[in-house]
Amino acid sequence: MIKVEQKPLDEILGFLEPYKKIVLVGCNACAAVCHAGGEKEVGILAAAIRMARKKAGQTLDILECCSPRQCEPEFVEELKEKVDDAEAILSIACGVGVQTVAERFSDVPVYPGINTMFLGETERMGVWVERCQACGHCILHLTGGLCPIARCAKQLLNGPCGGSQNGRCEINRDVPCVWHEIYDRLVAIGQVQVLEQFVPAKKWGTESRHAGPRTLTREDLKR
Amino acid sequence: MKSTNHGRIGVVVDHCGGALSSLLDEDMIQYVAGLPQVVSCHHDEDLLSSGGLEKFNDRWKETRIDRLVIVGASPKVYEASFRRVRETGRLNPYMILVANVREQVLWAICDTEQAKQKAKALVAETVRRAGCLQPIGREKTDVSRHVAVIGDGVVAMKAALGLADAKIPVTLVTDSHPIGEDMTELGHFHQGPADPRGWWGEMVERVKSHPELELKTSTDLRDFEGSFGDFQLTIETPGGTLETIRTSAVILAMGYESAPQREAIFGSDRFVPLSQVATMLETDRPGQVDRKPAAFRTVGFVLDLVNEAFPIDSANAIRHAISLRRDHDCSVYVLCRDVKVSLQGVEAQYRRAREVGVVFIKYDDPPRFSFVNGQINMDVKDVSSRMRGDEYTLSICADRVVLNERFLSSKRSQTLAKALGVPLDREGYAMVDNPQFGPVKASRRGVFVVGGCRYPQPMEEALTEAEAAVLEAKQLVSRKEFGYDLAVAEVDPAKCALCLTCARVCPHSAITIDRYAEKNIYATDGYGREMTWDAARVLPVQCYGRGICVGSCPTKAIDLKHQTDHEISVHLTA
Amino acid sequence: MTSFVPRIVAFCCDKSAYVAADRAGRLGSSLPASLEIIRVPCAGRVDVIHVLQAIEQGADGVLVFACHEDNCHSLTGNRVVQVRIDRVHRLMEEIGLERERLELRHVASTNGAKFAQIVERKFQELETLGPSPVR
Repeated sequence: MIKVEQKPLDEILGFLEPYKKIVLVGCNACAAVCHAGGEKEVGILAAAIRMARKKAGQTLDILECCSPRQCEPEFVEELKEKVDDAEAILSIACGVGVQTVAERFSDVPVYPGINTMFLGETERMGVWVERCQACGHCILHLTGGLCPIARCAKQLLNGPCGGSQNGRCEINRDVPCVWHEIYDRLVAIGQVQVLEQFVPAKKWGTESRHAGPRTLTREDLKR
Repeated sequence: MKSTNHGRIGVVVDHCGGALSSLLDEDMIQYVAGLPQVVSCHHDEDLLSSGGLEKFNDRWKETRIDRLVIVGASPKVYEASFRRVRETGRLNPYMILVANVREQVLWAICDTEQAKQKAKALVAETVRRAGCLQPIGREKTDVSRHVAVIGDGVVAMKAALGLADAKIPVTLVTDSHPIGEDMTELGHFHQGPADPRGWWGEMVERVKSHPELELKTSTDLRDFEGSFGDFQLTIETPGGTLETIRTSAVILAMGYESAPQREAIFGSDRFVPLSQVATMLETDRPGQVDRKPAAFRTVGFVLDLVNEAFPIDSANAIRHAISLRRDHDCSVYVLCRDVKVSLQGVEAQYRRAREVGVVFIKYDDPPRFSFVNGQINMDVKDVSSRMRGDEYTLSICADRVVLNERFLSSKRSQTLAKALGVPLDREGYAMVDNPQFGPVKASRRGVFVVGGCRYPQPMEEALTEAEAAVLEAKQLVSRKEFGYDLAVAEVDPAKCALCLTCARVCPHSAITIDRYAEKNIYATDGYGREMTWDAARVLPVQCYGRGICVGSCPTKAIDLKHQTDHEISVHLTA
Repeated sequence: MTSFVPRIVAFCCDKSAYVAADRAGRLGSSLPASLEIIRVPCAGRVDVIHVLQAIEQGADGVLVFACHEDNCHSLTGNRVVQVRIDRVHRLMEEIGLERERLELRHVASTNGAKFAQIVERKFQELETLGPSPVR
C-alpha cells in the first residue's frame, strides 16, 4: 500500500496564507491506513489550521470532507458541490489523489497536505517499511521474494557489493543487506541455484520508469 | 450517524433529603423548566429513598417523555438504581443523564452565587446533551456448560479436576504424552505434600478416569476465537487432525522454566545449581570412601544475582544450608542482597540457620568469583561492615558455590498466551500486575490465567490460583445465559478501511475481522449487493465499552454507543 | 475591568478522576466554578480531536485525568492517551500555544484532595499565562 506522512503544519499554513475559504479533502484509503489522511485526520488538521490562523489574527473557513478513495473519478466527482465556492483545495491524499482532484477541478489551486513516501508493508503497527518501487518488471522469482530494487541502496541485481558486512548495508548499520537476506532465503527454500542465473540490467529507459509517465491499459476492461 | 437534537425531556429535581434545597429555589426551578425541550419538571424529596426512581413510571406515562435528566447528586450515586429502572420502568437507563449539582457544584464551590450560576449552566448543558441520547438495548447469550483447560502440569490438572468435580464438563488440552510423566514441578513446592509422588500419581489417575473430564494429550492449540459462552478452540491432535472445541471459558495453566546461570557452565562442576543441591546432599554421605569430585567442606550460596524478587530461592537455600551445617558438618555462607522470609515458616528457619552457625552476608555489589588452589574464591563487600563505617571485602574460599537458576517464562506459554489474547509483560509473563482483574482473570472476558506462566511462584500459590480460577469459571458457566447491555463500541462496516488498528489496539481482544459488510470503503456503486466484504466487528459480549478503539480509528468507522463522539462534541460546544 | 477567569476543561476517567472529583466535593475541597468536567468511561476514550475541540471552543486549559500507571481498568487506556497528548503538544507548539495549557495527570479514585489541588494549581498557572490566544 502507498505509505504517506503529513506535512509539517507550518508548511501547510504557508500554502494557505492567501486564502479565506478552502476545502480540506481526506482520503479513507491508503492515507487513512497510515493514520495521515482519513476522516479523523481531516478533523484534526482543520482544527489545528483554524487555531493557528486565529492566533495570527486571521480566520479561515474550512469545509471538511472525506472521499472513500481520491484516485477514483466517481468519488472525486462527489466533491463537486463542496468545491464550488472554495478558493483552494487542500488534499490529504497521496500524490495520486491530489492530482486526480486537481485534474477534475482544474480552475482551483490544489495543495498537498501530505508527503507520499513509498510503497510499503506494515512491519508492525505504526512502522512501515519500503518494499517496492514499481519498476514495472518484477524479478521477485529470482530473489526469493525480496526486492533488490527497493531494498538495495545500489539497486544491484546480481549479488551484494563489497560493502556488505555482517548482513548489514554499508550505508547504515540498521539497514539489512538485502542480498544477504536473499541468499539466506534462497537457501531456505532450496533455490540457491537460481543465483547462477545472470540478471541483466533493467531497461530503465524503455521498460521502466525512466521512460516517462506510464500508462497501463486493459483492453478487456476498457470502457 | 449524527443524531439531531430532539426529544421530550423530563427533569427530576432531587432535593437529596434537603441537602440541595438551598440551591433549588424558585428561580432555579423556573430556569430549568424553561429550558428547550423540557416538557415536565418534578420534584422529589429524596430520589434514592425506597422506590424513588420507580415512582415515576406513572408520571412518565402522563407526560410521554422519552428521556430524563436528574438534577441532584453524582451519577455514581444513582447508577445502581438505573439498572432496576429497566426492569420496572418504561425508560431505558441510557436515556437518563444526571446533572451533578451536589458533589461537584454545591459542595465544591464556596461562593453561593457562583454555585447557583454554575448549577444553571450545568443543568442547561446536561439538558442539551440529553437531546443526543439513544436507547441502548440488552442482549443475552447462551452459555454452554463447558470449560477448557490448557496446560501440561499439576496446576492444569488441579484446575480441570476442580471443574470436573463440580460436574462441569471440562476438556484438558496438553501437549505432553502421557500426562504426568515429567515430575520436575514437585521441586517447586515450598512445603509440599507429605508423599509428593503419591499425591502426584493419584492426581494423574483421577484425570485419566474422571467421567466429566476429556483428556487430549499430544495436542496443541492452533486457533482461538469467539466470545465468552461461545469460544471456538481449534486444536491439532496427534496425526495432524484439526478439531474445534466449543467452550464457554478457558483456563491457561502453564508453568515456568528455569535455566542455570552462566557461571555454572564455566566447565567447573564446583558451581552447583540450587535445584541440584538435594541430589548433591544425597550423594555425599559422611564416611563415603570414593566421593568424586573432592569432598566439599565449605559451601557458599550466592543468591539474588538473578530472581531478586522471588522468595522461594531464599527459602530453599536456608533449608539446604541448615542441612549442610547440621548433617554434613560444612561451613556454610549465604550471600544475598536480602534474606527473603515471606513464605510460611521461613522466618523461623532463618533463625535456626543462624543458630546452627550459617553465616549470612549481605551485599550490594555482586560478589566476584575466581579460582584459587582449585577452590572458588568469592570476594564480596560486606554491607553490614559499611554500616559500621568500616567497609571491607571478605574473601571466602569454597569447595562448592550454589547459584540459583534464573526463572524464565517458557516460549510455549508465551505463544499460548498470545493466541488467547492475554498480554505479556517484558519478561514474557502473563498479566502479572493487574489489580483491576485480580490475580486470575485475564482482560479478555472468559479467559483465566494461573500458575507459573503468570509469574514464578511456589507450587502452593499456583495451586491456590487454580482453585480461584475454578471458582470464577464455575460462577460464569453455571448460568444458562449471560445478559449484557449493548453499551459497547460498534463499527459502521461501510466506512471500515480494514486498517486493523482497532483489532490490534483493543486490550480485551473484543474486536475481530469478519466477512459481513455489504459495502466497503473501496466499493463504488454498481458492484451489486451480492458481494460481502471483510470489516472489523466488535464482539459485544467481550467489549467493556471503554472507547480506546474509537480514538484510534482513522476513518471514524467505530463509535461508542453510550458516549458518541457527537455527544462529546455537543458537550464541548458552548 | 473584570479579571480573567481561566476556563478549564477536565476529561475525567470514570474509574479514577470522576470519583475523585466527587470526593473533592465531599471533603470540602473547592473546585473553581469555571471547571467543566467531562466524564469518559476510560482516559483512552479521549482523542486528539477532543482536546483540540476543547481548546478551539474556548478552554484556556485542558486537563486529562487517567488512572495511575499499571492501574488502568483497560490495561492500556492511560498509555494510549499519553501518546495522543504528546501529539497534541507537538501540534500546540506548531500552532503557537503554550504547552502548559494541556496536561495529563494521574489520580486515584480515593484522592479527592489531589484532584482539587491539581485543578487549583492549573487554575493559578493559567491566571498567569492569560487567556488562550485562540479563544
